[in-house]
Amino acid sequence: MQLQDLPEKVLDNVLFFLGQNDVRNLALTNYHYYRPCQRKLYSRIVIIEDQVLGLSNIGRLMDFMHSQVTFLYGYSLKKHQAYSLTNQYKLIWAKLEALIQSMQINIELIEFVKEIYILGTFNSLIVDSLRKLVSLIQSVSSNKLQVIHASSFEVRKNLKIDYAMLPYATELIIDSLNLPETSGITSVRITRHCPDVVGPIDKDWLRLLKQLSSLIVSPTSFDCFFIELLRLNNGEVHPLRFSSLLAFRLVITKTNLALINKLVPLLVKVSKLEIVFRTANFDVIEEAFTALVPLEGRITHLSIIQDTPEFSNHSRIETFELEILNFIKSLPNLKLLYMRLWIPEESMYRDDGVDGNYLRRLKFYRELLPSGFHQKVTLILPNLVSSLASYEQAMNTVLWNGCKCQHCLNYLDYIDEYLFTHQYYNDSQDCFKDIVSSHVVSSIGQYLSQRMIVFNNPDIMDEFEDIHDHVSHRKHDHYEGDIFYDAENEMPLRCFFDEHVFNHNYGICISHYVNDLVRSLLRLHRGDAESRYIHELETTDGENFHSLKFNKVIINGINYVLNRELNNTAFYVNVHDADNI
Amino acid sequence: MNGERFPVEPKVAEKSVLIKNMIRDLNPDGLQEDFEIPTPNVRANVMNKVLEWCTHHKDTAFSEDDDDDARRASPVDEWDKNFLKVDQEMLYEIITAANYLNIRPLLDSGCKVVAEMIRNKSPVELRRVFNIVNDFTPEEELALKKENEWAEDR
Repeated sequence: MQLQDLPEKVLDNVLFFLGQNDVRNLALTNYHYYRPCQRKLYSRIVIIEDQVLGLSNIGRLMDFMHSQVTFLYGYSLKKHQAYSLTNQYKLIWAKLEALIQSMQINIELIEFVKEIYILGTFNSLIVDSLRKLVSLIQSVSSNKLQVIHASSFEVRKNLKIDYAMLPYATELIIDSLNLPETSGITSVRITRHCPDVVGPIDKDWLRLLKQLSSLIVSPTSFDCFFIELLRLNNGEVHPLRFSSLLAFRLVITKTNLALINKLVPLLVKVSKLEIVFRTANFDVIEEAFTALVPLEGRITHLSIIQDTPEFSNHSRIETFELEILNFIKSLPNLKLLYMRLWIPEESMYRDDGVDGNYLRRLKFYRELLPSGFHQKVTLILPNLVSSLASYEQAMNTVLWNGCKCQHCLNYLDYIDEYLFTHQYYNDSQDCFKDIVSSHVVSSIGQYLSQRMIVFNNPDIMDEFEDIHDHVSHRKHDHYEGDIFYDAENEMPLRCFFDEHVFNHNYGICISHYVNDLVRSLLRLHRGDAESRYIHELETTDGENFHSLKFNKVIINGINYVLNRELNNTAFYVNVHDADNI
Repeated sequence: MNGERFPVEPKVAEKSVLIKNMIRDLNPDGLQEDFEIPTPNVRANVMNKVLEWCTHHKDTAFSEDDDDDARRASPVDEWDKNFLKVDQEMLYEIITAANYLNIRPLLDSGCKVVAEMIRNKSPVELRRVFNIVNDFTPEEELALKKENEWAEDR
């Protein structure tokens, strides 16, 4: 028996775990593999500015996260390679044109395309090509496109998506309350660009709601939309209307508890829940959690989003984390936890932080949070580093006394030098201020987040819409040459750091800082291998070593692969770092 | 299966969803006594290996409803990787058996191992390792390269 004797279904299962380069190479070996490989390569395309993390080869330690999509991006970000946004855009445009040409020559390829994600704003040339791509797909009646997801409102507007020409479409992104004529939609996102509902909602919404498995309403439209929806039926929505809903975003504000109390009983099947907190009022938060009790047994995926500057305060953020811990303890079936924290303005908390605050936060993530899980979970903390970076003293310690590997010895020194010679312009205070370690670490952390797209549950996370825009903005603030000035010069001088080299090498330093956290989180202290306490090496059944509470940990886009050696010793690998050692 | 018998405890056999359903359908009131399940599509030496895997993992709780991303999130289990260090023919037969018997975790481990064998190899290397005959003309090969150029990592 040979590889080509595997049944088609099994071959597809092998391809399921292959990244795009490998799929391309296998397609070129023999006609037998050509069609299955093309089907996989074209099925889920992500168009993105920079290369994502996770395409490296680290042999046995590798997971298979990179096989989930085919990325179309600019130049890969390798060390010392000249990098500029202009060059990236030129290559992205060229690749898009090549993709369009391939599809024009071989129309069958269009039928393989099921999902397209466009993450970023890009330039007008690229947007023109994207419109051409969408138009080409729409012109083929046998197209099977289910999702066309553009993170940028401007790009979306220009794509001219006609859902009538996409018979297999399953996801709608709605920027206005007028529903397009389409059937088969199972997922709806109402964006923040959608105007507030001021009158009765079209009754077509009720028809649509019956078939939805995912409903994500922008936090700004949430109250208006659901109040009007409930009003449609004299204040009551028959449970049938939400009978298929599996993924839902709940927005908690200071004033919408009554609405939440009406909505929660209608979420009869929801297992993927995103909770957006637009208030840090703990009375309200506690009551909201009480309202959520009926869902507790069903929740498998939980996404927590802090969405108010009220969280720019030490005691509130610490209290909030403890509230979340209590909630998590009541979720026996939780498999994925995603927590996006509020990053205070200029990465600094309003009140003065002391070491104790930082250490308490660390203790929460290292010890308390894992204690709340009933089973193995995937933990995704997209901006934890940026949040911890807000403690300046702690970040100074990281820079001055941090990781002692050769790489960090070199590059942490450069950051220190950088801090001495750079300022930034503070808009609100209309003056130049010194850049401090918090700014740099926070920015690097956010840059790292941007480089890994987590598709674990795109149904419930609006990361394309919110996080990506936010990260791009932060990156611009801190890295673009026209922002930085040499402190000793009157004339603005371009920063002497190459932005790309800065990002890449400093990202590795920050990933080493995160390693320490993960080591504690996994309780791997002795040579990254075992728990430090012998009594923790055994679980209650007395058979296993300290049980890993995590399937996967992703912190600020730094992907950790967790596994066990043959002798059952747990170990972890930082995939981001492994590419560079 | 060449008439060979493999007596195993139900817990081991039930790692196969096919067999588990068969046991449930044939014994709705619970298993009262031993009975035989024919598996004509699996050779004896392959069945032996599959049962070795099932025995090792008899107490492992695999999630039955893992989504696609959860399946991709973990590397191949080290024990499985060691277990699957067999010649290619046996590896494919184990995978095919796992598919037939509906043992998802074994199927995934096997497919991951094959994916790792494919990883980072050029088309020429792939042909050599997997004994694949190139049936493309040079022109076709060039056209195919061009077709997928947009997905290239530069």
